[in-house]
Amino acid sequence: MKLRSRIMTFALAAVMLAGLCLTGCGGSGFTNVAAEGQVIIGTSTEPSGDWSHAAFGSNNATDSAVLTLTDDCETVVSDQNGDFVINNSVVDKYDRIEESDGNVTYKITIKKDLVFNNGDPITAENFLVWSLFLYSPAGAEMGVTAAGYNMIPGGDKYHSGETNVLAGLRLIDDYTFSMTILKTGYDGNNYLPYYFDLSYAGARATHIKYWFGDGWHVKDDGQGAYLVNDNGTEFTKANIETTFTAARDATSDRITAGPYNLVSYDKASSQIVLESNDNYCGNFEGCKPGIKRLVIVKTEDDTVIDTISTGGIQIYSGIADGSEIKAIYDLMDNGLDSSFCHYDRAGYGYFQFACDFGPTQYTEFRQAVAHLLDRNEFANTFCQGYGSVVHGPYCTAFSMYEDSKKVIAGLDTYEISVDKAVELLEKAGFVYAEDGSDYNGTGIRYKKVTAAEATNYEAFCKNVGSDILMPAMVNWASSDGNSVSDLLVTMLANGDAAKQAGVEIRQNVMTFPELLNYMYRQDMYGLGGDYSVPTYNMFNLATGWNSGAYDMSFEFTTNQEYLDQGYNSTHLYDEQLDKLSMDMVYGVEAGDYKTYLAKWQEFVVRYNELLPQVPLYSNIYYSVYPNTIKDYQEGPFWGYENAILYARYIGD
Amino acid sequence: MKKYLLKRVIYLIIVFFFVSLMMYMIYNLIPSDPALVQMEPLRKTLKPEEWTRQYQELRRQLGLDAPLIVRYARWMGFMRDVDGNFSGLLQGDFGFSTSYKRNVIDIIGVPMQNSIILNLVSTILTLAITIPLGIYCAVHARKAADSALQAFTVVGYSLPTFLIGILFIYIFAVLLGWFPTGGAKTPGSTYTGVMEFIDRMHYMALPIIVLVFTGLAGMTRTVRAAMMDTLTQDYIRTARAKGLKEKVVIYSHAWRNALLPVSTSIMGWMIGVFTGGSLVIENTFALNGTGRLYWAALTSTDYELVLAMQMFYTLISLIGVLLTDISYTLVDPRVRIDK
Repeated sequence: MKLRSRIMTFALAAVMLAGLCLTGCGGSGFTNVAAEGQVIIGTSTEPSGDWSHAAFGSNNATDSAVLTLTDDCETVVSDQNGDFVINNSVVDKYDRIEESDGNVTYKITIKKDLVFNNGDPITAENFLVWSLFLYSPAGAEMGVTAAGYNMIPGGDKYHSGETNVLAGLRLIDDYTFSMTILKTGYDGNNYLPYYFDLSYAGARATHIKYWFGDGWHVKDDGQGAYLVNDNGTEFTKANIETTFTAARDATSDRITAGPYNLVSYDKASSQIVLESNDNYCGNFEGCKPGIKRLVIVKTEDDTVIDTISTGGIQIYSGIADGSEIKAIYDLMDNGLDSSFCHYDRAGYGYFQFACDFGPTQYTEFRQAVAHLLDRNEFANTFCQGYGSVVHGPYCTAFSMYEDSKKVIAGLDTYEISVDKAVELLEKAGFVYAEDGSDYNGTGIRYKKVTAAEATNYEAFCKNVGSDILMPAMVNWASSDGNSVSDLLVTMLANGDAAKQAGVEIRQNVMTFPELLNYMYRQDMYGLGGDYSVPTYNMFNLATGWNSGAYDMSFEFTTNQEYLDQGYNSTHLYDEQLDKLSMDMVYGVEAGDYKTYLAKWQEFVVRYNELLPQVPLYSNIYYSVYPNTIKDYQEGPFWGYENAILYARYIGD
Repeated sequence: MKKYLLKRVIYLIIVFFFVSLMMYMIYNLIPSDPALVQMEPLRKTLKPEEWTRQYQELRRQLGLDAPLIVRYARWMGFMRDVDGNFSGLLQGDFGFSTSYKRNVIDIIGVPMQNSIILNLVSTILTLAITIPLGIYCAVHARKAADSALQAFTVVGYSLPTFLIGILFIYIFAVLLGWFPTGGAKTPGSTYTGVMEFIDRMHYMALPIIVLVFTGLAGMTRTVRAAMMDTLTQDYIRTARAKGLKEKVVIYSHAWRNALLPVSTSIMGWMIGVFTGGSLVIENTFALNGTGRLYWAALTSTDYELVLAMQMFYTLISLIGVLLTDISYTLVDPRVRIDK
């Protein structure tokens, strides 16, 4: 009886295990099923039809989404939290080898049963060919923008055409390859240690014949990987460009290895049709698409709600406008068979100061300006209830945020307070009236400064006797047609708090590209103005993160060469902040989260104290999806292109 | 006639080059750097030195270091480009789009096809409605039907196109469900042949209706005014006195003479529809046309694309004016443009 019971238990366990294997059930609670049904996704970004993995610059949001949906057979991907992870559906074995000279080699063995969507096998050479193209003289000649060759041994000689062998890439066998990263690159930069160095191990499977033509192979004779053609053809622009351009422009029958295949891209209607790829190996969690057919269509902001209400689109992601969210809720109340998922935005809107001239060069002054704006009210008004305020350079989606609640609770929230602002202004020395007498509460405040302090602000300063008086006036560059600017005018520039404190915020409206020119202080070609001269000391902008890789290196550099190139646009020259921003990623070994977190916290605290930027709002994004699907959940680092993989069709 | 045409074509070419020079100078007055626009997204991806190296290389490749007049000459195809070849407008090279990262010529084909279909159909329909309507209003001037039609058309005349577009979407797409809210074909459809054409027309219908509606007022009033003026002429009175049928008087005598001022207006209006009109409609209905492309290029400071579109519009306008002049002789044999 006991034996029988044991046999039964074993049999049951075996059946369950087999069931799990057959369905490919992963750790996130999904079950792979046969793909069925169709979903129409709306996008506000016009696809360009260029799906060439950012070789020629950046891809727009829709292009990137299509790339992820069609071609994600990569060794390293980012997960739901934006963290880099090894793609276990692709990688069989991964080794990180620290060399004696400080370089690191990533040795990867891929799984043997991987195939492209047309059934062609994927082998190790498919993971090396794209890098060999990007860093080649042919790639450069074709306009590729890539700099990775600087960090790969032999990359400089390979890029210049001195050799056709890239020593840092190795083809070990049919399923194994390696990539070595230099500790110090040919450009003089330190690439290791790097906290996010797993990203260096990233490689994507590329079909060689589809992109480069017949006869090409990657080979390795022991010195490094190189491209060779059966016909003896050289790897030059002239020999590959026609095939490459055709591959880049193809609107159907692309040879890829992602969850979906591009069935068609109709340029006339800006419509993309994708169908699930039966040969797909699964994403990093083994998940395969449950929706058979996706249609991506271009929408217009003015009519998107009408389009949703008539079923013209079913999924629409990242809605931030409160009135649109409320309108969709109304539609749901009136029978629209859809649901919402929502998440905090991985980014925030802010205004930043130029911290090297004018009154904003003084920390107390910047802090005083922050006290003149009710940021909670601002976020509430701007986001119409669908947003919040952050107090530093972070978003609530970061794991660091979750692990730093105590530190963040200790940050200065710069609540609106005229008294506090006045106290800080007085501490900064803004205690004089226009005529040099003591400030009596009317007009704006002035501070006695040296000629050096007044540099680039002379036009606004007054000379009274031998004294130079600098006004408590911020010369604000504000982009046109911007609702944040409009609200800042109402709540800050024209607000009572600024007047009571004796501060003027002077708005200068301009186009966004012009604002960027002034911010980066870069001279433009043509007949434009002299942007290299510091002119404005406040700018309103927004920022965001595409992944959880929080890398602020060079953002607060004090190196003049980098400054000339437009880095450190706040011009806050604080060695501690600069060091922290660099050490946080380049001074911490990969995986040492504890040290990384400690430096991140120090960085956030220092930033909050020096206040080069004042965060204004961080939206809560809403995404609408039809009730014909289930298990659809987007996130800050998890767009529709990722979330749709886990969705399952349940029909009407 | 031949001499006149030759003279006009020479004028057209001179004006075209003058406009191209003006346009090129104006767009280059706008502070913008195509190389920077292209490289900006890579600022945080590349290391500073590499970013600067590639930025400078891109500026060189795009020929941005050369003086403005040299850049214009290269753009027109009067001078060799950075690569040593003549590759300008005259050689059929419309430039390189920094936002699409492709040659302009490869981008504008499909949108142009869409815009031409949209505008051609709407123009034919508008004229088919407004000409009889204008004649009817003129013949029945100041009567109830005329007054009602005048009031109705003034609505279309007064309201901005985008507002009419949104209003019509709400009425015909949302409330009545007769048409889709936007786009050019049923999402995911695989129709071919007749079904594809019907589907396409179904999606085009509402934008065309809006274009026709907005065009009704102006053209009806123009035709009405021209006809009313003609109907007061002595030869009309003579024709009526001769006992000719009213239909013959109106369509054979009056309309023929009224057509001359109308033809000028038609051409001007068509040019307006092809440019400004379709820009608003295409943006409202998410149609991939030249108007929307033009707008997108402007907002992304993609000036080579903007310039190519601008020159396209310039060419349409110039040819339009030439055709108007030629049409005078066809409409009114008394006009001899070669004299």
